Amino acid sequence: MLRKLLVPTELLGCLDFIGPSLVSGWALHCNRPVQQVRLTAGGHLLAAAPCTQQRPDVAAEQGGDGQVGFVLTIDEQLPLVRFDGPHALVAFDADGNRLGEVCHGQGEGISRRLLAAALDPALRGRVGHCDGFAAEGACLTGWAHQGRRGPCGIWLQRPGHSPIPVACDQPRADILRQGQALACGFRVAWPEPGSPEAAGLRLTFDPQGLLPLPGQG
Amino acid sequence: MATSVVLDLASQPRIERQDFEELVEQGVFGAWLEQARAMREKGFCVLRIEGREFQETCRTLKAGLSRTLGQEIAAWHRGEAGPPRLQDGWLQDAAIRRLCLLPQVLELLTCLYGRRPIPFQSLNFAIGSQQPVHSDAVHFNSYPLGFMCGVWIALEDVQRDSGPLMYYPTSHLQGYLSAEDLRLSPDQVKAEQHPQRFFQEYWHQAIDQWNLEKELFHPQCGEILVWHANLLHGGEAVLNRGLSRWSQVNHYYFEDCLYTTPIQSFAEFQGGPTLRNPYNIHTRRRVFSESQWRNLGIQQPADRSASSPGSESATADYLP
Repeated sequence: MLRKLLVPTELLGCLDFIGPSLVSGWALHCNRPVQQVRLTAGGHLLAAAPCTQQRPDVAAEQGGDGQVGFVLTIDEQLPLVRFDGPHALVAFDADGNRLGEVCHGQGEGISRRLLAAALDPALRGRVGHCDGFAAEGACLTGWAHQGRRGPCGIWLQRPGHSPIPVACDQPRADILRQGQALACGFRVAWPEPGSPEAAGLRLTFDPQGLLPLPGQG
Repeated sequence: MATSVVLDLASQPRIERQDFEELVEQGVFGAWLEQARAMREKGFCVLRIEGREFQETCRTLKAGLSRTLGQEIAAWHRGEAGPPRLQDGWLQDAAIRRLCLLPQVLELLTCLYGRRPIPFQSLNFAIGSQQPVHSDAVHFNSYPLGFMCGVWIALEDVQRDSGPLMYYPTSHLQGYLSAEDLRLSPDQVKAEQHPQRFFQEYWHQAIDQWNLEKELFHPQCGEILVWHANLLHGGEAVLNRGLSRWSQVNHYYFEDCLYTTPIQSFAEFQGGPTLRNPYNIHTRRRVFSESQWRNLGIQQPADRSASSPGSESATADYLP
């Protein structure tokens, strides 16, 4: 009996990115393939995605075929309400059996907190990206908007200081919505990477600093 | 003790799913495939109810409604009032309730949407409604979007000049609209007696822009038209005021959703959506019990307590 209980049944996985519009990561179970991941809040199903994307990096480390990745979209049409917790990203097998929660590298508590932040109705539909340094240097560029709700701002986080709002209102011909170019770009003065001034600087979707824009390394 | 509610806010109506063709190949729609395709592509479908029982229900219903609406019908004929209608007559009239629960209709809707339907409102008409073109989805919608539809039942053969039902095929493919989409504030909506007026311009623009062509429904008694939540429809002008147009419209939501009134749903900083707890005509109770409603695990962004449950009609109950 004890021997049976010791058979490994753990779910391995990680939430690599948590944002207001998508959550991505990977999930792998020792003896039952993960078919789907579901975002839930207080038991309500808010979003679901297959867990079948190729993740060669995971395959290199964990073995297997590497079809363990997921990108789960948080629909901007979800109601603009706050969902009581617990918030969780749960893995299921093909028969609908619950295999366990997929967590952020820092554990279950922070995962739930980050997922709750991502589901904040004030942020619903926000997407964005840090593109890197402008050609002339000293400026970080990127874009962010709130889907059909139009433009939005982001936040510059500095350790030990209050967050600074950053406007996203510059023309970006490459970012389209319904065929229209959006004025959603930003430029932020940024110290040289690696310098003491750059330490801990981050751009986030939220003023609390929980949800960093992707592309910041 | 009430069981807790588990909402499914992720899955779409079958007729709107991206893998619709795969569902067709799997035979999910069975005998209702023609209706499924019509709903998906044109925004409506038609079926026919036959049999002595249905005809008997029609006779009983028209006789009862002739008495209930007698004075209003007479006022219409004298030109002193608009066309009469009875909302939620199912509360008093068993025949109306029976037509909300027609087994063929419930089976069809379950198949098309992939969830069990909840009849929540009935409307009975003795005369052509002459309603301006509109989409039901500004009055009733759901999360996930689109789990709502209308069912129009002909209780007699409809004459050409009686103001038949009209609709614009494919108009359902336009996006859903809410007060938030039109950047309306709660005060603006509250101040307007008929807030549907705000949306009228958008619908007429869509008809022009997409060259949508109007069709009229001239059914025989027992023919039923099911329309998608977002299909633009209305009533033609009544050209012969001596003609009746007995009909019943039922509105349906579907299980495991949140239910909303988009015409009163605003941006997050203005309070977010108006959520409602409709009646289920089948059970004669609200969809969520009081305890379930209180413990849904959902908080509005701002105080919406001005509209408390039970304070208005059977079809206007909002989450505080």
